[in-house]
Amino acid sequence: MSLHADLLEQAKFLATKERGTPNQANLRRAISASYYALFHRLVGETTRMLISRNHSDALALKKCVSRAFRHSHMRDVCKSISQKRLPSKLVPAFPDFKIDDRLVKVGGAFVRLQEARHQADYDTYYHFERNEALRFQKLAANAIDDWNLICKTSQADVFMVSLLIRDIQS
Amino acid sequence: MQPAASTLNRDSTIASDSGGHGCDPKWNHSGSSVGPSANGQRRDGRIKPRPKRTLSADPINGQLDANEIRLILDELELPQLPVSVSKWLVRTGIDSADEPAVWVWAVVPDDKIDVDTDIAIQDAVFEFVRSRIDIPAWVYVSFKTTDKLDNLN
Repeated sequence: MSLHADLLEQAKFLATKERGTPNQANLRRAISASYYALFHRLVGETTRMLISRNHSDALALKKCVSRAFRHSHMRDVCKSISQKRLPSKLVPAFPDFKIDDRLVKVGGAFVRLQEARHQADYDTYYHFERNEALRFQKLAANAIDDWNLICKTSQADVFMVSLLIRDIQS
Repeated sequence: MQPAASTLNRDSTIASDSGGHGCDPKWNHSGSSVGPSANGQRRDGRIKPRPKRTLSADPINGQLDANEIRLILDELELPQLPVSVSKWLVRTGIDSADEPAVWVWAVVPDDKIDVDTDIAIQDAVFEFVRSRIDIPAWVYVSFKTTDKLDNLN
């Protein structure tokens, strides 16, 4: 299976591992895995789009590019997209007046999941519930499903370029 | 998501019974040919619609007032959903991106909320709160059941 699919499965496994009271560490890792499932799905697709030629060094270049994504920048882009706003420098390249609703959902899910991951990793005082973790897992799964339906569209191309190139956001 | 408890010194959390999340239906009638009377009531007996308030951030700390947002949420009419919200809990602060944010917990009788309902409530609350505040704070929505409120520090 792909990494993002494995992460989704892991998130569900961890969130449902105990029959009784769930282990907080497992719920936290489940939420983190849900975020990273969506993160890696977007990074993987973007990297494949940008480096589509199969030179002998393509794999090394893909590795370099995949490490160049910044969580905070991706979040800023997703905030804009989820509010149906485009990066201003990319407006001329955007193929339609209306942003696809599925892309809007992907952006919104990314913002929520990243904040949830941050809390799961750093806020040791917050008490997570099992259903909370399962909803985040489902949120990530739905976002990935939406993304899979639109990832080859020209709107997705614009979105992916903006995820990586920071100067293009302003 | 919610801010760390360690940031509570810069956040504020407010809880209150909403008494239902719907707006008084009397306020939703606009365009009536019946004008208000001198005592503030319409001549047909309905209460004059309350003007919508827009909240400003505190000029000193840049934060929104959680209590004011909670009061505004009492006016929110949620779309038809298989869940009833008995109470809103609100906290304001700075999120992990160091930007102003509002965390809203919808208190529900049981946590059998599917992700579609979750998203519908998230979107409704987001749009509603954002339309009533004058800074672009992000709005995060979560759920807590009544019996798990003690877990919300």
